[in-house]
Amino acid sequence: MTAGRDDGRRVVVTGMGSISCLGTGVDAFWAGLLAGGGTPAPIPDPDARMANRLMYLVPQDEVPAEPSRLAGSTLAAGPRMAVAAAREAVADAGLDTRTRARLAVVLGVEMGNAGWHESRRAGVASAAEGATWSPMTLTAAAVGAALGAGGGNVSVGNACAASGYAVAVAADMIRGGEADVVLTGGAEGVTRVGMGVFNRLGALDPERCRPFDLHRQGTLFGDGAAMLVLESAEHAARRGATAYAELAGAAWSCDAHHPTAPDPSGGQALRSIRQALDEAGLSREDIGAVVPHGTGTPLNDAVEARVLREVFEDRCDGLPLFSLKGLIGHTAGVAGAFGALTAALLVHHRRVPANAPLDEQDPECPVRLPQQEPVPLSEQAVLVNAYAFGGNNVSLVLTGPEGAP
Amino acid sequence: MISLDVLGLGVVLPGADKPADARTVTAAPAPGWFDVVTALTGRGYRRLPTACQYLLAATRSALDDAGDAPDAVPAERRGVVVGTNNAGMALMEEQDRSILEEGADAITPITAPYFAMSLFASRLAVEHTVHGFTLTTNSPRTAGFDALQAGARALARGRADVLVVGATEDELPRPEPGADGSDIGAVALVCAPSAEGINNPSAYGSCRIRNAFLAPGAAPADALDDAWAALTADGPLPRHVDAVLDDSATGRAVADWLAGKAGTVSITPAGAGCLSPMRHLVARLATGDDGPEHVVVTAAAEGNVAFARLTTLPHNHPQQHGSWQ
Repeated sequence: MTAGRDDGRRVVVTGMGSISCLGTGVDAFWAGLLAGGGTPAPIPDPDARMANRLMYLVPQDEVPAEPSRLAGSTLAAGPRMAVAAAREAVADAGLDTRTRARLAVVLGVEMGNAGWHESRRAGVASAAEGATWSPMTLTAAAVGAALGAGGGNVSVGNACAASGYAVAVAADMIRGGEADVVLTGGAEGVTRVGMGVFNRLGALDPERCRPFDLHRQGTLFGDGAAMLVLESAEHAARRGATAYAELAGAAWSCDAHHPTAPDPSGGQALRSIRQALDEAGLSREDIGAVVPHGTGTPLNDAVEARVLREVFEDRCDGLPLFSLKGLIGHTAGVAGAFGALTAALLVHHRRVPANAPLDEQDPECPVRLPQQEPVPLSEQAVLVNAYAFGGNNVSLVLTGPEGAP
Repeated sequence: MISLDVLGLGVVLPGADKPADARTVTAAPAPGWFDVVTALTGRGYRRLPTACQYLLAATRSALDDAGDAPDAVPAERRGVVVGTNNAGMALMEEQDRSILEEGADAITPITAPYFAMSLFASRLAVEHTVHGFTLTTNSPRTAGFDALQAGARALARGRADVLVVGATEDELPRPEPGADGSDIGAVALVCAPSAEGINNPSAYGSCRIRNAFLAPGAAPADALDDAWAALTADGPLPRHVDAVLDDSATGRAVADWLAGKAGTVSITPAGAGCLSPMRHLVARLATGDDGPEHVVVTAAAEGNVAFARLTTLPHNHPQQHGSWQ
């Protein structure tokens, strides 16, 4: 019942930007993926009183210092990284000043500027900086202000799937004719509260993020920002822009099951994958790789593997998964955008980097995880899943831009 | 432009018992103004964060008000969109204090996941078996209007057939800047797609949203004119504009820009959160006073600006009671 890829305008990716544990810029990101990814390290927060302090961290000397303020608020690392990645994406897309003036911004952000609020509580930042309200999720506004983007500015907060939903919302805006160009993505910094809660829930791995490994004990977070410029194919063609990929399909569902655990049946996750394929007008045979949600939490990975087998059946044995969180950690609200950005790169480069080596693959997760070397992308499209607390499921399908007008 | 029909309204607001009264609330309500035991009969509610309780109770009222229509919609075709800025800030303050003073093991486990404020919408989805989707918007102050717009867009795209759109806020914890002006409470709207040229006889009216962005300190730009033109191009100019603004540079710029845009413009101070503009929107829909055409506009110091165009209809609510169970 969801409208299809051809109901409305086609949506292409014409610019990308990122900052992650692999460094600054999309080139560094791709090179880092090919080189085997990052390694976790303790967060630089002396007030984080918790057993597990490991994260996949953006190198401290690469965390931008500016912009430091927005209206009455001091900006923490998350919004500052968002601005850096957004600037890269917009420059990469070659957007001129006139286009930027009406550019819409839709970001997925759950914790936003939480780092500043935590600094205030720890006495590092002054609460007297202002008597006026300092909203936590001002990241999209910081990006809008930095770029002079006067179009709609929306922040979406669907927990760890937030930016996956943001990408879909941005695409819907273009398909519906509301906007020609939308900057979308997400950004999150280190948060003590997020780390503390996951410690309390026993949901962090003591060593590394190792999705689908038999010995996985939970996830490990990463910080960073990932941005994509989405554009109607007509608009991109008119200005002679080069597209990396087409965002061909996006679908949502909700488990309505439990605050933190996925529905073990996987029924709703399955539905969102099938609807995304339907919207894209593609079949399962058109999918050449999957960027799974794959967090390293035991039940999540097992349910997702089962859902993938149900969708792809025996094709699953040969279908490569690129388990991104094993290389950059679980980037929380940014995870969906990092998944979409990675899928665009797989489509663009026509290959799938090697996964981080597993000690022993979980037999409850019978999916293909190439670990020795990159493998070719044998089909035209890549599926991305992003799931979250509360049973939020979003699936995206990216394909080559060849078919776009 | 995408439009929503509003079929049901519900509010949980200090000092305002019904949607028609939502414009004026008690600024600093006494503790106990909301009684969860009375508002939410059944088990499992008392230990939820208060903003979650407000949202659940407001939604029950809105669904009762909407009558039977939502019941007929399958779970896979139901959606929830919730706007919030501060719903989990008090909890987050408490959790962080626990970490700082005793360590992460002292965090209360039952409410732990609600540090992710999207859990408030997810809890609503569990309550009413919503499998279509849940979406949370959290843009400063415009999150409620963004929720309506995102909902309208999702309906137009075929992602659901009926929606609950809500906004919920809790008082900011005292050390937090702006706590004295906190928005408190929740509103909920049951919405369905508007059919072109057809008035739904059970609707309060319809609403359309446009947003724009005005960088702090910048002069009003084409984007504001674009948004206004898009909202007013196909109908009579509104006789009245409700502006819910703060005293920031953005708020003042929008107030100046509004002069002459409609017959009269009233400016109401905005609170910390996204609820104040949604209260005004709900009240206008419920009362339909000052004529059928209205615009409610709001803006945040950070630059977010959003407009809601309302077309109210004669209505006869509350209707027959129904539920989504």
